[in-house]
Amino acid sequence: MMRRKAMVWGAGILIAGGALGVGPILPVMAASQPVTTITLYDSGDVNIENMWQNYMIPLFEKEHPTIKVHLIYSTSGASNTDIYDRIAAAEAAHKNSGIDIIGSSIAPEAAEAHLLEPVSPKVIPNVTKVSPSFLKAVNDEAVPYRGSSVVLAYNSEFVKSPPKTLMGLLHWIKTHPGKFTYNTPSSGGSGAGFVQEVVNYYVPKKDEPIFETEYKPALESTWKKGLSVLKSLTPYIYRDGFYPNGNVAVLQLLANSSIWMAPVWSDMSTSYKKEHLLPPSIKLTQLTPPMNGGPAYVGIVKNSPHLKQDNIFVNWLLTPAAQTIVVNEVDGYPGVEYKYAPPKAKQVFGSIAGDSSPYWDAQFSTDLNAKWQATVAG
Amino acid sequence: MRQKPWVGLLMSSGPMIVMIVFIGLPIVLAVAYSLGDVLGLNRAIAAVAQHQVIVKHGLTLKVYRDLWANAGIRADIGATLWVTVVAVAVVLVIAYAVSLYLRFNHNRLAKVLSAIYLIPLFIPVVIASYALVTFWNAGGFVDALMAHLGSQGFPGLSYTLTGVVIAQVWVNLPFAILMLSSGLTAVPDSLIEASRDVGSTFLRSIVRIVLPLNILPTVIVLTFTGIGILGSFTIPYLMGPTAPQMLGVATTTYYQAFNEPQQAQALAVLTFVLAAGIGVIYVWANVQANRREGIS
Repeated sequence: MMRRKAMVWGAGILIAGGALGVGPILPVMAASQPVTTITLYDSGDVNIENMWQNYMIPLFEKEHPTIKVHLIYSTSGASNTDIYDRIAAAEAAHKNSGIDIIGSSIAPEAAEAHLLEPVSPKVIPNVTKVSPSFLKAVNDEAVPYRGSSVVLAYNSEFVKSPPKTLMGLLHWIKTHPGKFTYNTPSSGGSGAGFVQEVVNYYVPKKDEPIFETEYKPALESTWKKGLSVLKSLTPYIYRDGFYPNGNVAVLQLLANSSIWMAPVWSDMSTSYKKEHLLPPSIKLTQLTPPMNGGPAYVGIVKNSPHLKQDNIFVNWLLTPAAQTIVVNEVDGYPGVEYKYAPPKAKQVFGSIAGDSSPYWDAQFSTDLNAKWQATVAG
Repeated sequence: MRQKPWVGLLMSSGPMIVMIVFIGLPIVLAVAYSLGDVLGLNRAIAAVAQHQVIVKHGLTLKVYRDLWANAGIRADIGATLWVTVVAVAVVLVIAYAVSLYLRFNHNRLAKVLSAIYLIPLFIPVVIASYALVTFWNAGGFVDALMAHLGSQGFPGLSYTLTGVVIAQVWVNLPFAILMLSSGLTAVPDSLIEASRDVGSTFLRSIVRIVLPLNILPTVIVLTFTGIGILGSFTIPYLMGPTAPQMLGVATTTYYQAFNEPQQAQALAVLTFVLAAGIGVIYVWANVQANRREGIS
């Protein structure tokens, strides 16, 4: 009897505690303090997380004491789908999702679905410094603030004359069994870039732009040839066809000379070289046709209650101070045009800068992931 | 003591409500979504998903049929079942060997063993998986050891299904040994001594006396380990091959990388059905045990 009584009390306290605990947190945040907190969602590898947390946000908050930036970061984009669903659902209900600004690959996707606020020079003056074609690609609803592209990394200790074309690369792979691999396209953009490069090569030229701007699943039949070429590479891939998970895993294989060549992100590999995580013998080059690349965007979510502060933040990302962080700390291409960029940018990236194919539409990309898993990996 | 039924109801209603809202309802929604229902609470996810099967009236099994028609998915299901069965069998054999040793030996080795076998319990699965990948990979510890012993060209077991089995066994052993040895401790010495007195060999008394009395812990190990491995994600994601994938990994891939939540939920339902199949064994064993003890 005593025990039962104690348990009833225990349950009661738990329930009451739960009800009380949740309540007071929300009003405190909304209290009329001079500081406004805006929430930023982004995803990617740890290099970008490091950029926000240790450089961008501290500097921005120092220059704007009344605005705090709360970062929600999802490594490798594990939460992209959840966050996108949440924003779409909130917009359908004309409510705010709790996220003010989004980055990552869902930003262009959201722009395409008109879930973001339009960016105009009136509210974001620095937007005039970016290439108009980058803005047009996202309905003028997101701002490119940094860029990168997929490039070919090779170990110059073993590879004296790297291939210059895609055909040359395919030939190299077959003549050097086990010395090439790329990560699964669903686990990172560098592998996806290579898969897209091969598939794109066999797509009729007139269809190519459609993959970048529209979504017509019927066109996916043109991928067949490219996918079968990728499948034919399997016996020549590292360990008879092992595709690692994630961009970093490929860089690690390059670093310990398990493989001699691989597609990598320009910014990540440059950083890795700088930090001596890749030996100096690893060099970067670009193929003809170039592998894909382009800007990373941020956009302001519709119904955000902090539009004024959001605009200040996004505008700030295009200032010289922020662009210097992009170039110096994550070795990204500048988001602004080169004439507005830190002068160092051009000399760091040399031959690989600015030379890339546009990214595909997000829905085509996910379909390509699925088709690759079914035909190449299986 | 006077019964107050509302007290019990009140006490159980909290957990019940939590169960219904956070577990029951999502299961119903997921099953409905996988059968083509995109209305109500499924509307938000359906608004952004790709390649959905939608029915206006009634339900359809098309999502399941399409998945089954996909050779990759059939291979994934096969791989999942293979890993589960093999890993559970290996866990059971090793766990029994260790538990029996601990039950009948009280020397120094047994003391050391009884401390060592618990170690995997305190190492997070992610960390353990990474360590095992490096340990078993080409160029890793095992490779180096074999090279020293004169055997070249060890292929490495990381990124293979065998590697997944090894990691699963490593992670699941502590619980199995813990369960089995506590069960074995409960078998009275007097019974074993009595059977030895009438001339049965040690092995025979194990098989005829000890094992039958240890059925329930065995079934618990079998089912809990089985369900755990069936739905595992971290180990096969880090240790497994690109294809075939275990269902936990495939489900996540469909959900995140392919933006096909409907197919992902259908795979989840499938995993749930398989796990329920294992669950039936557990319930059956419990009923049997209760009946033997006269509680029905």
